[in-house]
Amino acid sequence: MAYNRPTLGIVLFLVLLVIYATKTKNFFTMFQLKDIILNSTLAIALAAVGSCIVLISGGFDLSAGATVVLLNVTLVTAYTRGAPGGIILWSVICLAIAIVVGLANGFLVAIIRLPPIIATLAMSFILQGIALLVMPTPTGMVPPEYIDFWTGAVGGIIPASLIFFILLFLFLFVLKNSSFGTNIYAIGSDEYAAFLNGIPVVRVKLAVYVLAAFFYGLSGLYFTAQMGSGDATLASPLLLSILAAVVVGGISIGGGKGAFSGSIVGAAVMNMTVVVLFVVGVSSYWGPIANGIVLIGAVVLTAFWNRRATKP
Amino acid sequence: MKLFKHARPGNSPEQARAVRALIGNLPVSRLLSSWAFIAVLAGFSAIFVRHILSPQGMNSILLLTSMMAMASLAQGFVILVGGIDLSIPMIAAYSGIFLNWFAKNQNGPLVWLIPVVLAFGCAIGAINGAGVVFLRVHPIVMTMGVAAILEGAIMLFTSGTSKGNAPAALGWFVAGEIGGVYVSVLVMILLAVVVGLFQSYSAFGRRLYAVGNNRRAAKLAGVRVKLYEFLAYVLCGFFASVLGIMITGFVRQAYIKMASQYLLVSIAAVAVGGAQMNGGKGHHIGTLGGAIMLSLLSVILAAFMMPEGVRNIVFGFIILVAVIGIREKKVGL
Repeated sequence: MAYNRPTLGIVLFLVLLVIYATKTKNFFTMFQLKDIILNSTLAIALAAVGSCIVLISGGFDLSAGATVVLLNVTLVTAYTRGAPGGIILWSVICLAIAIVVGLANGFLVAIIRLPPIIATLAMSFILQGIALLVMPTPTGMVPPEYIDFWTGAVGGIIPASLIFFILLFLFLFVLKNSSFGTNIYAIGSDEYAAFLNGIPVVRVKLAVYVLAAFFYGLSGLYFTAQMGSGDATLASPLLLSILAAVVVGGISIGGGKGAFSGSIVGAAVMNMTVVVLFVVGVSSYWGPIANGIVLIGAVVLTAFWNRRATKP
Repeated sequence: MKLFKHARPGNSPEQARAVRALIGNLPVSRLLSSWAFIAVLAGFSAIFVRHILSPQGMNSILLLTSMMAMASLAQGFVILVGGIDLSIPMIAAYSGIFLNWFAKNQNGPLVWLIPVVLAFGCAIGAINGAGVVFLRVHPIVMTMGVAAILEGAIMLFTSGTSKGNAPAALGWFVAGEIGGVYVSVLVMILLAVVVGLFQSYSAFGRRLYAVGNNRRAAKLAGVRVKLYEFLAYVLCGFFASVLGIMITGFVRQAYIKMASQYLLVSIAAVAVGGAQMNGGKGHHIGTLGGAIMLSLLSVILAAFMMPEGVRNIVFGFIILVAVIGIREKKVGL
């Protein structure tokens, strides 16, 4: 069932962690653990979890980056313009928007039967357009309590993000062992066979896209807290990071393979890559290059690994 | 499955053959939609924004069209074999920046610069193709990764700034006029015709279709599937490079984001032009029609002072509508 273990990802993460530790003093301070490692990873990790659910079910979701960005600009604009309701209400509204997007995606893919790549690609353009309309230039701000809620520490000691990670892992564990989770893998492996076996393909697919969008929503909320402002132009780099995270986590693009938690590992690796680059003193221009190389490299390696393993 | 598509109960074989000879292999029904749309848009603008349809306005539209057409042509090749290329804007930007950097405002270096730049485009296309075809990386992942690497490379190369202006000769090539029509438009028409003929009537073109339509069948029929898929990406890189040169010539400058809007456009034009997104069906005439329609739409939107976001939304919707309209009905699931 879940064949691609995220072992490659875990190994990479540990290697990068060691490199990072040797290059910085004060490694074990709260600041390091919380801000550099946990907080920066969580935003991408949440979105990556959403993406990987879709990917494992055999679909594709190119609208991830755009959804996160749309939520980001909507939330920031609502707060900055003093829209009634306060930030909590608008966070909920944003989550609702995310679910609507997920429904739209699911509708296009599961019911109208469009190829997921085109459907979500078109959707990403539409969402990007809406985001640009809402916030043409990067601006805005969010209340410090909001930022603190998501990125701070409970009681000053336990990072909020750590709690979120634990919840995330718990959720994924439950998902994996549920029939819904099994259905996802089944559809991803062989959709027709799953159908013949009585799995309600259409409903599961729809649910998958909605669930993914929900995670993009959470990611958008977290991302907003982390950035503290809004930026409508970040959709493409975000998508790249999310995709890289999922792939590095050992999830196969074709579907049916990979562990859900791999996406979290992958996000951690991508984050550590950027951190290590920074700490080693390499120009920030290498960031996108590193992303691209890791992305392609991870796919090739995973495919290679698989091919060897399946030989008798 | 009808062996002779135009054989109908009422037609005689001679009539069917005549129809076939006339429209050749063109899947007319697929192509009609984009041209019908154009007619509608033209009518709309005649009523509401008449000045667009003046010779001056038309020239501007056609200039935009020729650039969109170049991007769409590039994307068309790759979609035909069942892939997609998200790195077109970066290849174009890279070509333009490279050209500007080394030309240093003079016409002379263009002689060797342009072939070099075009070769670069092909090379990057080749890298894309190698990854997709030989390393079996998914086209989205591969082209996205290559685009990211290119972006970083450009930034490193230019240290974030864009130097130099495009040489004058390049400017003429794009926006100079022959008989009142922009040179680049003529070039576009020429290229479109050549590529279109090539696509339908050459062995190469036919094999591209075969590969996109049914890989296994093509392979069993003796077509070197991998080679043709690979070449499709190379061609894409080539035309992306041409696009970069054109934009640089027109804007006289080159910068990283200069072609970023063309990605959405290229996919939309191909989709609207009747191509099937999984590959195998579609023709450059349709894609060209798509490019014309989208450029017309862009100009109309601009005339109504619509912000950029609206354009994205509209184009996205158009892609959806086009793909929904053209999809094949599946049996079973």
